[in-house]
Amino acid sequence: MNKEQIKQIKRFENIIHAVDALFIVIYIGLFVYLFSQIIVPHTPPETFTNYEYTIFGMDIDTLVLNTWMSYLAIFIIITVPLTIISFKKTKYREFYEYNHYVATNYFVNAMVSLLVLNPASFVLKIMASHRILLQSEKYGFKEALKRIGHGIKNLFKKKERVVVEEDNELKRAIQKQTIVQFTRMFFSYLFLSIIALMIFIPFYWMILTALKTYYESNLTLSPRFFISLSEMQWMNFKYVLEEVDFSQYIKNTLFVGIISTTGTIFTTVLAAFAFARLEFKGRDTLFSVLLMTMMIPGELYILTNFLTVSQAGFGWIGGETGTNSYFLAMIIPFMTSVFYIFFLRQTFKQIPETLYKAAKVDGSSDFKYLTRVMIPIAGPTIFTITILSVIGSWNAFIWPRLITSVGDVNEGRGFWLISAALRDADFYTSGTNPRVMFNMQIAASAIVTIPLIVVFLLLRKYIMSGVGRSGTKG
Amino acid sequence: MKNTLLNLVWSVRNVFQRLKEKLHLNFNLPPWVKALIYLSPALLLLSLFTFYPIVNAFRLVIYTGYQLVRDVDGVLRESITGYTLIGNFVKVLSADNFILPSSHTTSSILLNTLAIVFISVPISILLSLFVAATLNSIKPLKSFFQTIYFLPYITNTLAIGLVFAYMFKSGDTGLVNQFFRIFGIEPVSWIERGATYWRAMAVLIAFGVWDGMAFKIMVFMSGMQGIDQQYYQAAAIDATPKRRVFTRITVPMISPMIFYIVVTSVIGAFKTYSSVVAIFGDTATPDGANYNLKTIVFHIYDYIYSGEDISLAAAASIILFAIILALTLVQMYIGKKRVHY
Amino acid sequence: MKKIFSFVLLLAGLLSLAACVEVRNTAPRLIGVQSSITITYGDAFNPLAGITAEDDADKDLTNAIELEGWNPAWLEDPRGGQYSYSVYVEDSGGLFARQQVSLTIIGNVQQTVSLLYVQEAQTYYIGSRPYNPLRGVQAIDTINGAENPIDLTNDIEVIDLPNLTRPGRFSYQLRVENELGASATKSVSLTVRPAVTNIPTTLTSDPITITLWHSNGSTIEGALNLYATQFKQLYPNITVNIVKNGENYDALRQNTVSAIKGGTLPNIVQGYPDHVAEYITNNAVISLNPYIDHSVWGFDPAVENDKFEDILWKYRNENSQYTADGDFFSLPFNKSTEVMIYNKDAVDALITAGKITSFPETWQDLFAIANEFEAIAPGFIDTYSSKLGLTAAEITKAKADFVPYSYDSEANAFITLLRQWGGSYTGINSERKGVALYNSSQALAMLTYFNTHRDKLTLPQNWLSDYASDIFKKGQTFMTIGSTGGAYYNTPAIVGGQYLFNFEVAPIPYNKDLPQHRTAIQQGTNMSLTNSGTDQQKLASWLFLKFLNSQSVQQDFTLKTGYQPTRTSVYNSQPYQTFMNGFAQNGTTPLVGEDLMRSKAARAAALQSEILFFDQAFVGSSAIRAAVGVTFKRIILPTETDTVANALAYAVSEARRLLGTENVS
Repeated sequence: MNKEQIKQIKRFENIIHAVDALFIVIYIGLFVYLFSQIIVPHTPPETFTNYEYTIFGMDIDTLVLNTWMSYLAIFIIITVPLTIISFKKTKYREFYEYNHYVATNYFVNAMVSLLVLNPASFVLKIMASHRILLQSEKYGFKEALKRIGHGIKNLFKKKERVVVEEDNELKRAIQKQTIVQFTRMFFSYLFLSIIALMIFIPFYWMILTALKTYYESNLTLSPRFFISLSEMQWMNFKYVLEEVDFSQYIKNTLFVGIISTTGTIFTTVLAAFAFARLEFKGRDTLFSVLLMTMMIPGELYILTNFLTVSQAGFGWIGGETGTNSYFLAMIIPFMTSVFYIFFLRQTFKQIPETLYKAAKVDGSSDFKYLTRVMIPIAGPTIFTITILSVIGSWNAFIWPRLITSVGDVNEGRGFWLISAALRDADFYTSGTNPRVMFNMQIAASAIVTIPLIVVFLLLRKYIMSGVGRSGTKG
Repeated sequence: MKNTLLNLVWSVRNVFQRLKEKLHLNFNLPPWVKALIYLSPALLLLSLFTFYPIVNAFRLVIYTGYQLVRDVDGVLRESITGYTLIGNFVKVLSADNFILPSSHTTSSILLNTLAIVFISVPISILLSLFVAATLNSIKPLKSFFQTIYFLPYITNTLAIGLVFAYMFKSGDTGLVNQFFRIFGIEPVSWIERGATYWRAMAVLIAFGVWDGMAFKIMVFMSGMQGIDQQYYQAAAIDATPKRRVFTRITVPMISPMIFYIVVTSVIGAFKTYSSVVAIFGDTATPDGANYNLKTIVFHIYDYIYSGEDISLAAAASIILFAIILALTLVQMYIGKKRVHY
Repeated sequence: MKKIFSFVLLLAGLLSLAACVEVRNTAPRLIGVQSSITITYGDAFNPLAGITAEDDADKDLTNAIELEGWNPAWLEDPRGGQYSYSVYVEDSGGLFARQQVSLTIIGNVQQTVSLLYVQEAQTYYIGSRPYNPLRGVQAIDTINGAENPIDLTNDIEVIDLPNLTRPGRFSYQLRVENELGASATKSVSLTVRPAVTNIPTTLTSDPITITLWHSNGSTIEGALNLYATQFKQLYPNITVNIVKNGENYDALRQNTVSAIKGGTLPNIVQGYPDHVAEYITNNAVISLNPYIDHSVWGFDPAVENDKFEDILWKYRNENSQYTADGDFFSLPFNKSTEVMIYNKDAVDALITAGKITSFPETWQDLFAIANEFEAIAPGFIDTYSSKLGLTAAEITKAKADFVPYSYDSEANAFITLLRQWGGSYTGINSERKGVALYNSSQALAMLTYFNTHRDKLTLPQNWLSDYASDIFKKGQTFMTIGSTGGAYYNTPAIVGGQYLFNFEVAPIPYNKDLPQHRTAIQQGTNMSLTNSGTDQQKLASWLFLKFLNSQSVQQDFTLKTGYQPTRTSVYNSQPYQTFMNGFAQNGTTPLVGEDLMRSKAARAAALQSEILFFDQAFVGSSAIRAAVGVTFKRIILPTETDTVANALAYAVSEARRLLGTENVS
């Protein structure tokens, strides 16, 4: 293929991606619109109510609405990763990499687009597949089908044995190796899939429960594993979002998370460096003492730390309305962590000491070495610690709840972090003996989890490459 | 972004450097002063929020009848009824079912905790090692699997614990039992009425393994990714079998990470508590069972919130701490010989 | 060497730090006091015999023991009688211990007279409304049988009533006698305290805001908000903030204790009695006596539905049990009890078949006809299941799991049934610390009995459910015992606009062999005043508490929620009577469904109103409760190798661990 054809194909591919992206925007937009139309009952929804809606001039009820939203959700989940992967692949594809595999890829993608009701992409992808096949392999669809047919026939035909001694040995060895490789690959994937399934099932169950009605989620006998698309109660998520003032809590969580993480990084880097490289008397003893503090259960800290920040101590919480600084109490105690110091110290220790000695010989100071050499090399690890620390703030709930419940409770509620808010929110049935609505609580947990999943997906590479070792390549 | 930050730090430092030279200050600091400067931010916070609480909690262990009362003028006053050197320890250790099972209840808190530690930690680590190694050796779908394996880390334990409990419940029709029925195994009770001790313990261990794998896989995988390919190439030339490559090259090269994981996992497993509450409830007992699944930390919380006797909770915490310390020292001793930096 | 030295230094530092804590004075302990003694006329009796007193600081205080109300003349009366007095000792630091003793002397006259509703330890603040020793007290004579008591209230005499103008400790007696010479005498230990100065005589007109912490669901919170609004119309300058602080009562307790230590308390806090006991230990709640009897702000004894004694005796008793002085530290709020709800259709089927004439009232009778219910169960389950649309597997399971009777709360079952079998559950010793009294033969007998009959009475976990109501409403069990507060959950399921079956509510069953121990549990929370806030705020809070216990509020609250009224006048009022009879407030429309269930539950609760019990509160009682709950589950849903003795031993060992071995019998 020449440059002109490549350019054409690439342009074509960009059009495909644009169309895909457009459709994704449409799906998400539709989903959000339908979500905003959902009617949420004023009293806690213990049973299913079938509301009437008028969407786009059509009269539908809740079951139909649920079905539509379920389909849209499935479409979004399928298309977004596929589009991103496809886009990444296209960006880095070299001209010589265009072959029938790519064409098959597009063909399969076209089928997927058809399933998600994206006719435009379907047509475009079929066209792309055909064109790539034509220009790279010089044959079209008909020819390709014929070749596939031949290939299948050949599989079942008995091969003519041309007996050549040395070739036979080699052939058998190659055959054995491919079989071994194939088996290994098969069992690897099998093993990974089984583990992945075991890890995923509780999540599936969690999402399932979040989408059930209260009555269903409470059934101890014969709980269902699959519910039909029309029975997925998207209303639950809206109910949760309405019960809880999300924007305020997310703001709080981000504020607390960012500041405490910055503090943590600062203290952790300095301390880990001291323990890894600096020689001083009592280094090992002090480090062991630090390790020992990890062995004590957290609740013991909470008791005393609460007193320290309360009216009996610094007075950051629990006082009259308006005299409290809740953020101080939520951030300062968490600006350092022995867990991360230990972690970073291990990483620092893996950077060869020779580097350090060499730097010393060159007359560079410790601080220079730290900032110029260690931090960049251990950069990914530090990044990972940052992410983990922010996730910690995201999931924190015992401490924020405790310190906001001992004074003006309404004022304190405005300072909740997101997990505390969702756990403490009122997901109870009505009546004098309210019972917890399990499906709502799980829906709330799901809502909290999803941003974290998105963050992980985006930053996966950095997190992964980071937890590790240094590089002294070569 | 990173560069601008570093440049900022550098310019600030240059200012200080020039100041130093101007004032003819000779900073030949002894090493421990330097170390102190580096450690001071962390140490300051740790002293206030980690060391002080521990000292404060541990000193309660020699009191009896400790009470913390706040006056009308807002001053916190503590008072005790007396001192006792080992009285609280004796009370904790001699309570029924702490060390050994008794005639009326066939489980003991110490044995429960040790079972969780010594079963779930090795399983979890070995499984994670294999998964990380396998994951490292494939290319397609790697990121897909990675994402799935990371999921347990970002959900909060209590919610997932409840889901886990739900899965193992419901007699014949629960999720797990239905799954076993596919293979023709009879459904049994796992955590409800009729569950045996080891079945209930298996659920707890399964949850611990499940919850801990995400972080371990991540750590091991990245560790393996950082291993220099030279070693593998050399091994390939020598046609070393895969298993040998794994045990002789991969494992030693990531041994610092393995060590970190082992130490922290053991410590973490000793602190099992929220999963017990999530799966078995506040009494940690399956319905009608003549045993319970209480762990040492559960017991400590019990002393704090039910017994209201803080000194006993402090004594139990010190006992737990001593056990963990002993085991960690053993691990560090082994580590000195086996860990290669 | 240096290491050892520094280590020793560190240890010494820690020890000295630990040593600068004040050692507080502890109350003395009375040992050997029997709470109930029976002797015969002519027996030698020394009330101080075998009783010693010790104190940590003062060591032996036996010589300082006093008797309050004891009159040696009682031993001289050949007719005999029933008496009560107190044993009291005080240490040099001013802390005391007091225990009441009831003494029965058997003479030649049959003792049929009783004094009822006497609070044996009371506190009076000088300057309050005139003290009425006979407030709420009644006397009856059961000489014509217990069903026909003769009212002797007008014949009660007060002996040795002290001069109430100076502070001090006094005792007086209430005595009533019938014509035959049977008598009952009760001693009241009265502590007279100096006048309180911090209750303003006029309420300020400045705006006051008070805060109330609760942890109820939306229904009760809505009611509280309504009452706060109504209260504002009475006192326009007082704003009451109703704040929910905690998802359940225990979370509220934890938040309150944390606030005591390091935060700011609200003005009013809701809690169970053992929570209040904990707040008292922390000096966080104040005595209500000065307010109750205040000449301006107290309950008006002249107004029938306002007077203090209109509040039911059992609630007044529960809210003054905290200290040995009888101070009130709370007023009742949402009280409930347990009732028995049964499937009327199934019972009618047996009545028609001539097997029984009415639904049994005792355990023994219930278990005797259990197999009759089991015989007709499959038929009923088939009918109900087809209406509910259950699958064949579910129907088979329901029939296989069928047990005729169920009890919702295993802890309540243990506590109530233990009392019905003549045993005691917990008590408090002279230091107001909890003691566990259930390591007894009665407990063993009760547990063995119900273990034997576990195929007839079971817990919801038999069906792998958390609530018996979920099973009852589907008709898969025929009787369930549950709280009146949650009775509405037992309303039968509705299929096609029709309820699945008819239901009826009755008082809970009792032990046929020990009918005198017929009893049911008294549950629910109370409201306390905290020590935070200005005097005007405390006054405003008291006024709101009083308002919550007024007849109008109680009537509205109980009709709406199904909780028990705290006042007799509410019980006797027309609207409540209409409600208990099963009609809506217009008097003609019959109630249906949940409302009917509430109404029937209220009537059943009223029938057992006089025999309710409560256990004295102490810090840590909830953990003991959890332990006995586990025990009861172990005998109802046992594993094969378990025994009743082992199940009980578990609860006993938990008590030993939590209360100390010396406090477990």
